[in-house]
Amino acid sequence: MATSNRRRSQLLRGVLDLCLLSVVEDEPAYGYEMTKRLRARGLSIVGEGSIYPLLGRLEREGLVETHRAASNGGPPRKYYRASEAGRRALAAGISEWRTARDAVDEVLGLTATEVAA
Amino acid sequence: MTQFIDECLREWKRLAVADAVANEMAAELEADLRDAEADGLSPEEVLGDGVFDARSFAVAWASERGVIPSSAAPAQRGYRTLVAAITAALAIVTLFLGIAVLTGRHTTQITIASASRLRPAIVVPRLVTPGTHSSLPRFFFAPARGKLLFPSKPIPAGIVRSGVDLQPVGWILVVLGLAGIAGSILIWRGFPLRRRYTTA
Repeated sequence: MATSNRRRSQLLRGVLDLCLLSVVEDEPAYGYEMTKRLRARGLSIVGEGSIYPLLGRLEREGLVETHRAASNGGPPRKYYRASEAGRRALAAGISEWRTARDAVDEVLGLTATEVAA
Repeated sequence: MTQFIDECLREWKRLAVADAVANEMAAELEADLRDAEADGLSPEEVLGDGVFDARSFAVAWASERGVIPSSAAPAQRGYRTLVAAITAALAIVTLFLGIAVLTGRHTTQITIASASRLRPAIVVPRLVTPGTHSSLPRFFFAPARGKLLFPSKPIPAGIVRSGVDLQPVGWILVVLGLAGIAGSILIWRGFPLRRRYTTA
């Protein structure tokens, strides 16, 4: 179980930035809102690293743009939205993910065939 | 959760993050955690495993965001390493002192081979006779009646020990040494105590 959790954590850490870019690609969101969007798409970050350091990096690298705006009745929030560079990075990242995923699928598929044989 | 945010603020201050930036990050975190609490989510569901270690979380966020002055981080690390090294050195010396005290002799021991060898060279006896109160010394003769008293009893042969029992001191030094070593490790690692923060 611990090994499984560790593997999931490592896999997720490698693509969490893409997931964040994806949830703010079309519509801006503040930190907690992004967490909710990830959860709505079936991704919980319980036990994983926080999104905040990652958001900090995306901001530093210019992959997200930020602005402050009032939220629903609450204090002004910091909204994040994918920048043009962020969209390009997302597209490139998705391509890399697919390539890696296909390669791993291929290897795991071969392994499954060998085991079956 | 206020405690978690306060710890983050302290860490950002220690890292010389500009107040405006630190306050902005703290406000963002506070608002998000408040929303999460209203939705019935635990801080862990928002902060991930960062919830267990406020300082590491604060360092990671500020570092990734690039708001730590370039000179601050290495200087802080260097200072912390120096303090940890000095603490460790003192702790090790204390520990060895403690072990030395525990395993060494605690008393001064003098062995007296014979009583006569240590008797004073000149013993001045005092004559005490009934009815007289004379205390004049009389040399080389003894009275017919009376009692010849030596000023002190002869020292018997044997072993004389003196000193205090240092075992408790030894144990205290050992405990202090071990505590110092543990403390130096904590200083070096920056006290990353794994702590769960509750929503409060």
